[in-house]
Amino acid sequence: MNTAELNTVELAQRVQQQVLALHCQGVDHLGALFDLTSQRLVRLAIAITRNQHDAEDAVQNVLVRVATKPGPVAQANSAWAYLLRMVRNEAIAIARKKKRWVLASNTLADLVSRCRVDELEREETHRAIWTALRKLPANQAEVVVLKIWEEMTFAEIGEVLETSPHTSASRYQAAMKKLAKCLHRHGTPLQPSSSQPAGKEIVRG
Amino acid sequence: MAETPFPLNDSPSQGELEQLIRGAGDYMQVNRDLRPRVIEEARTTRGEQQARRWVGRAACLAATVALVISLGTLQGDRSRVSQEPLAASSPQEFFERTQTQTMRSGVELPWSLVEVFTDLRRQQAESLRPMAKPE
Repeated sequence: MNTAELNTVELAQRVQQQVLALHCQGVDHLGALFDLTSQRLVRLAIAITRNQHDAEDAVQNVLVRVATKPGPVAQANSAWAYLLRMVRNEAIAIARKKKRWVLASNTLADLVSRCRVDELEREETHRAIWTALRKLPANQAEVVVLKIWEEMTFAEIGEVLETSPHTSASRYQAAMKKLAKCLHRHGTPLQPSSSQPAGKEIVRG
Repeated sequence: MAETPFPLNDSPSQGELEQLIRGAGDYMQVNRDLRPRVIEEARTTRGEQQARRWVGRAACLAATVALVISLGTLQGDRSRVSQEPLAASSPQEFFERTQTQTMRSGVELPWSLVEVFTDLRRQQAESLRPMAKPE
């Protein structure tokens, strides 16, 4: 099952199960947790670090920490929210150290991308969206990621980001305005994607 | 391009923009080498953690064994010392030895008393030094 098809509740339940398995049976269960969460976690980390390599480093550090010491995650009310918060904190720490904010914001060279053959015409749109997203301030970009790709409520987002739901909502509104402006300014061919059956994929790295 | 629902000059509504962004979610892919890297790193870290824990436990065990052995030795020495009667433990015996010394050496009683007392102190000191190796 593609993890992108899971809804928030299912995902949270499966993450909880995997973390418990990791807690009880050890590092051998890390692969399953990785498959379930890695793309989502890297996506959130990219919003903060603006660089996929740094984002993957953040995710690696967090998953290794979870694998070697799964207790705190297993005991959390929501393992998924806890994991997202860990990745966010790690990504912020890495971004502060490396200071690639400005360098990476205008290029997608570091991004490993995939585009289905039947979606090739939308690739330009996807690239424009990712570029625009990386131009947003990190605290707005992370709200967009959590709201749209993780389908979280503002209350849940507030829990992950340790802010109030109201703050999350206003950051989201500000981000959406900037994204619309940015995409419009660059004349991006805007075409919403519909759910289509998976076709062949072209992977670029 | 002409068939796209949103011409270049039109701004999409928020709902449409959200749909567009949602569609771009899977565009980013995780590097293929990240999975093995993470698992290997986790195994290595776990192994180091277990090794550190093992060394810690071994050190604790060694310290406990050393403590038990030293306590046992000390206890043995103490019991040995307490079982050995001190020389001239009673005043009567002390005076008997003084008299014997006076008769044997022909010195006056006070000097014999001093010699017997010195001898007694030396014997007591030796018996209270349990860890010293016998010559």
